[in-house]
Amino acid sequence: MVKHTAIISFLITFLAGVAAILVFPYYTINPGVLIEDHLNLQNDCFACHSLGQGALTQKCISCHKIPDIGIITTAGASKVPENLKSSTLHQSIINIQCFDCHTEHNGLSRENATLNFTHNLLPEDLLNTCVKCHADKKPADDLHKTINADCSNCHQTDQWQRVEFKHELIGNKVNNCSGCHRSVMPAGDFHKLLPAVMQCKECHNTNAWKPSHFKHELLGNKKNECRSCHEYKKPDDALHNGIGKSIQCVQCHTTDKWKPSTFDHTKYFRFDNNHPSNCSDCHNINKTFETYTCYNCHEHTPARIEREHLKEGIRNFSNCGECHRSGEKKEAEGRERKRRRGDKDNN
Amino acid sequence: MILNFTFKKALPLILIYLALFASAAVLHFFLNTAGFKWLLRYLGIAGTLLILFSFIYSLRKRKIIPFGKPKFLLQFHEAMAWSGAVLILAHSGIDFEAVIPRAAVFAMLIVVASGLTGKYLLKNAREDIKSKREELKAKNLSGEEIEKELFSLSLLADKMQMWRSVHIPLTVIFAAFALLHIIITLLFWRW
Repeated sequence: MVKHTAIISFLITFLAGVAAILVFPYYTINPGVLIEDHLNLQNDCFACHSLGQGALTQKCISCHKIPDIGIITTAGASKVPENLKSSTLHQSIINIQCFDCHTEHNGLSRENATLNFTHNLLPEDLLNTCVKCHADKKPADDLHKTINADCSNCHQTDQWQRVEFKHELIGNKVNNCSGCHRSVMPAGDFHKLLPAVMQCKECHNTNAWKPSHFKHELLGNKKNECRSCHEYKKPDDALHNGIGKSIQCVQCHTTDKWKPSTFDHTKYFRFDNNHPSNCSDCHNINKTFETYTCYNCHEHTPARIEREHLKEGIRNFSNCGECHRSGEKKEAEGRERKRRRGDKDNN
Repeated sequence: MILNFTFKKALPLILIYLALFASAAVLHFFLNTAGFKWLLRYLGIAGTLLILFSFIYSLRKRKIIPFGKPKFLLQFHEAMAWSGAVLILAHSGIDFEAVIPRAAVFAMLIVVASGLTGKYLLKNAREDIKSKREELKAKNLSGEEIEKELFSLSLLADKMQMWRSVHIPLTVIFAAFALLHIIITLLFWRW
């Protein structure tokens, strides 16, 4: 009984299915909606399909003549406007089946019908001549106006935005950095200070913008204006805070190396046990290191100093350091003798 | 109390049925996102082969093949048919437009539900026999008399025969739709 029921069920279902397929093929076996232009073929499966072979190229091109693609419709009318991109593409490709790029039953949209397209299917000459298809997409900026090489030199078909730009492509314009990079030029004081004739390449290179290879010599006579760029690096200590603007950084520092500085106090005064390096002992006027005084201890009272110098016939003794570069009296006497001889040597 | 007990027994089978959908969804999602979408097309073939393989049990039951323990082959039938259904359900996620393949999938789901119902009935019937045997033993009947009494009741045979009269026609309806789908695919697909 079950056996008979099974056989009858099978036959009824199968035959009903076959009948339904024959009467309503689009609804019964169509795996998805055809593109809008092919909707008139929706019940004529064999317009595109061949038994056991799928949708053969021969059937496609029987309607879509390759020389006409993009120019003339399948109905014989001229396309307005002509799709030259499509025309170029289809006339350039060889040994490719339509179904390599095109698919159907994927919805009404034409975009969905070409989802299988990949640039790898294109012949090499077309693959390396992007503008043949994408001329309209070439940006109108200065960079792209400059370049005549093919897009594939910098761009890749799978990731258009991942650009590997090579500066050599722009020929001798490679030296005109600001032609492209003006917007990224820092607006800080440093770059403003640079001479107008100076080229970016003198510090930067095209492989990597940073690090730059700056040389202070490039600044010409402005290279001594350290504060223009390095003011923020000035240490916030008693020494530097006591230095007025009349003293230039280069008097102690060099452009090669900021530290150690070349400042040598012995050039002005040599410390010893009686004269320790306690800054405020001498530099106690207006908290500046530009001025000093020796009249701060019992040894050097103004009256005593005046008396001793006048005794030696020295009338100009207001600038102690001119002669006294240490606590040694003899060194000062030697300088005084030289001064009297009119020797201008300060050392 | 009886309702609760019945639901408790049916719950594992309901979960097995729900797991069918969950497994198919996970498989479909994984293949789609991992770049193996093309493989989904071939899961239909694999699923069909698994289901066909599961019919070894049916052949053994009808003594067309002489080997294999029926109890083991029944478990094999259940496992293969469930696994095949998972693959086919995942495969059906590619396109679900046409009526014939859609009908085949629905029929398959009904057959799986019917199979799980059979599993439930079988379990229930076995428990009925067990309790009846206990009842007869309590009446101090001999072993021979008990078996005779149980045979006359034909509890198991009756229930399963009724179930088979539904399960098998449902299966062949599924087979008819599946066969139509396979034929159409062979005719129109590019192989």
